[in-house]
Amino acid sequence: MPSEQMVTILVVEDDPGHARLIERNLRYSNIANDIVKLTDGQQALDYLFGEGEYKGARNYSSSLLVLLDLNLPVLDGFQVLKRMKSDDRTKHIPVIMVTSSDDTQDVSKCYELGCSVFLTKPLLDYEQFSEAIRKLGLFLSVVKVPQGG
Amino acid sequence: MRDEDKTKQQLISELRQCREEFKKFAYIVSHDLRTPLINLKGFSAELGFALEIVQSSLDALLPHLDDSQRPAVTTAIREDIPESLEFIQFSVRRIDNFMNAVLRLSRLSRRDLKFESLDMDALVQGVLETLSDQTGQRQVEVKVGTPLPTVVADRDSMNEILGIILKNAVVYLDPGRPGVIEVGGQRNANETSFFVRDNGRGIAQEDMHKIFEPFRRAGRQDIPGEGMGLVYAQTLVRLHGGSLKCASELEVGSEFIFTISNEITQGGDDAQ
Repeated sequence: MPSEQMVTILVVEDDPGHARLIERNLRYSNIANDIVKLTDGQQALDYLFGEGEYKGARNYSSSLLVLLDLNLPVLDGFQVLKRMKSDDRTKHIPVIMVTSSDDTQDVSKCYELGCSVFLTKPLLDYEQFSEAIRKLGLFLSVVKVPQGG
Repeated sequence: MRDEDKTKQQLISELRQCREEFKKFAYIVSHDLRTPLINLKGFSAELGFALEIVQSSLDALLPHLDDSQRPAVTTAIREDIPESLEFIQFSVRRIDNFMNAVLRLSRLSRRDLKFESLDMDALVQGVLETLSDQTGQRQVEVKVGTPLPTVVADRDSMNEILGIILKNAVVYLDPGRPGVIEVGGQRNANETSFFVRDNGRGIAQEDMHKIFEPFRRAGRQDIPGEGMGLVYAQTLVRLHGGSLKCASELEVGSEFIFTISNEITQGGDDAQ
């Protein structure tokens, strides 16, 4: 297993604008990681488990980090997170929630389900959000995540 | 009699349903509008970053342009684009304020109330302390008719209701005369009422309907505010089976009176 494999960042976000803003800010920190953008919860699970349109891809075996929105079509962020954390093949993958919700119940539910970090997209502090995503990018360029099985 | 009871029950259940639907609607609207608004905010900030890059190399760029192009390019980059961005960002902030107010209102009306017996003398004192900066600056005389009647109510709600009404009383005082604010209360058979009276600038009769309407304000707009305070207060008073009313005369002063139902029992939620 190559230990220096670069983390692939999976951005699961149904709004193309939000996904692009996240991607841009990650790129501003000069990271060279692959960024894969997916737009609904089912697509995310298919990608992870190599099912549906990603049949045979077995992506859970590569080094991944997921940025996950909550309000997603087909399967929402809670369902994706729950499924990932209850499956041995995907439960090691770090999941960062990136959502416009700041509802305390949503925050605690996500942590209970096993997310690594909960980030709110703040409306008035885009600069702050941008800064956070850039730092996340910087962090990702040195961070190690577990390899899949 | 039984038919009447049935109709009453039906009406109550329909009202409850309406209230639930309104709360859900307000929540969904304010949440779902956030998504496009985040894009407006985000991409206008991105445009701002890009503009800074262009602006910083404008001086180097200008000598390469024709004399005929130079003024238009300079105006666009130095004035028109930054001004347009400012208007977009200002408008986004306004929409955001509106949505947060709607969201707050919907959260207020679904709040879990904890009813307990409240010492209103202490509660009013506490609220006045939070306003002490403003009352001190303006040298306001505050007269509280103690002892105020005790009520069974939700502490946070009472703090908010009195906070909103007292703050209005203070900030809308007339700087032309010494401010006097009176607070009093009385327990009646079915309800307990409280009043806050001031000798401030007052509200014109024709403006009276505005003060309880969301986002509307009465009189001169020289004090910052979003026009939601009394709407929040009214919502909270209604959750206590009461009402909030105002009597006022322009240039003389205002009196706000709110009632709390005596039917509420400690630990119960009879008012809901």
